[in-house]
Amino acid sequence: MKLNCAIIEDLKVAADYLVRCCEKSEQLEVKGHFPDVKSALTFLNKNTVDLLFLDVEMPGATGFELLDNITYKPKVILTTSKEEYAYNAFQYNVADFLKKPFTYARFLEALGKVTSMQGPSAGATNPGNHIFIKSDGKLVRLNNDDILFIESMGDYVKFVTSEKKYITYNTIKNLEEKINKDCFMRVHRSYIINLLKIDDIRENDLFINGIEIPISKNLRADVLKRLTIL
Amino acid sequence: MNPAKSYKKFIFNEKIDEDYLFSLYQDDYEYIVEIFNSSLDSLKEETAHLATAFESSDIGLLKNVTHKIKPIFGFTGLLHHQEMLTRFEQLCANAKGISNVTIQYMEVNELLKEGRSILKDDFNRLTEFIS
Repeated sequence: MKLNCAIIEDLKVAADYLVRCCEKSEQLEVKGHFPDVKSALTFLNKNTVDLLFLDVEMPGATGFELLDNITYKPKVILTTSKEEYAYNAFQYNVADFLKKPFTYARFLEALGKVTSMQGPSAGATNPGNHIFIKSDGKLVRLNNDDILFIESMGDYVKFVTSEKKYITYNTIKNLEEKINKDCFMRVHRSYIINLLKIDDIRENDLFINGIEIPISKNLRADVLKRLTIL
Repeated sequence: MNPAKSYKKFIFNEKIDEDYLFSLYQDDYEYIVEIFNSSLDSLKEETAHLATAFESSDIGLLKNVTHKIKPIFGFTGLLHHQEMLTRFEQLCANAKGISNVTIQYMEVNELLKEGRSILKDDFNRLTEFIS
């Protein structure tokens, strides 16, 4: 299956070359290419991609600022003509670093690092766009998009959707390790929330569908980092 | 990056590193024409931005525009030009003001003119070669 990707690159010749490399690889589907962070963020916060080819120095804002403001965590390959960003790249868990211009062989090498990250070990902690939970004696499929939040109830947890609540034997700590971290985040010892469902945040609480959920003081900054705040 | 075609070998300008160009695009001359064309457009646009940055004495912008132009020469095999721009970018990063880089800016301007001229000439010759 092809990975969805987006290219954020202000130099046209570099963006065109990347598109060619992606097409030639037959492993990637380019969902869009954007010359600046603003237009990329507008797209990326409405559409999910698996991989970003991200330039660092662009007009208005840097590639790292884009990563600070995106609500999920796609894999990232930095494309730049400077090597000084290696430390930041490490901090942002970037898969690889392509120094422009790069050969097609080097491109494939970087892509190989991403696909190996998508392998079985990564899959165990990132189950994709849905999960199955045991509830009422059966396995029930819940799409990530339908889950508003998950609340701890001691040895049990409650999955809350807009339609229904499901109680199952599990712990928040265990779920935190297994859920898709692109859209879910632990915000309190008793709560994991779907980041895409937050309606608003006031001081140390957030609201989803009118329900107030506390945010731990030590996690507040991390929560805000995952939001697009303009 | 299309499958190699049975063209005769095209002789690029001696300042273009042909081996490097082929390492990027193999002998896909049609694609190289596209790259040269796109690079010429970008060079024209960014050279104007560079002049604006210099005239407004904005050393930070001068550095940023230089940074953006630099890989254009990489993509077109003009590696000496790319190296000179790397040095100029570094100079701008360390300079206190525009007056510290005036002479080098003039040199860079000449380099850009030469680069554009080489690319334009090879773009025309290569277009004719493959037609």
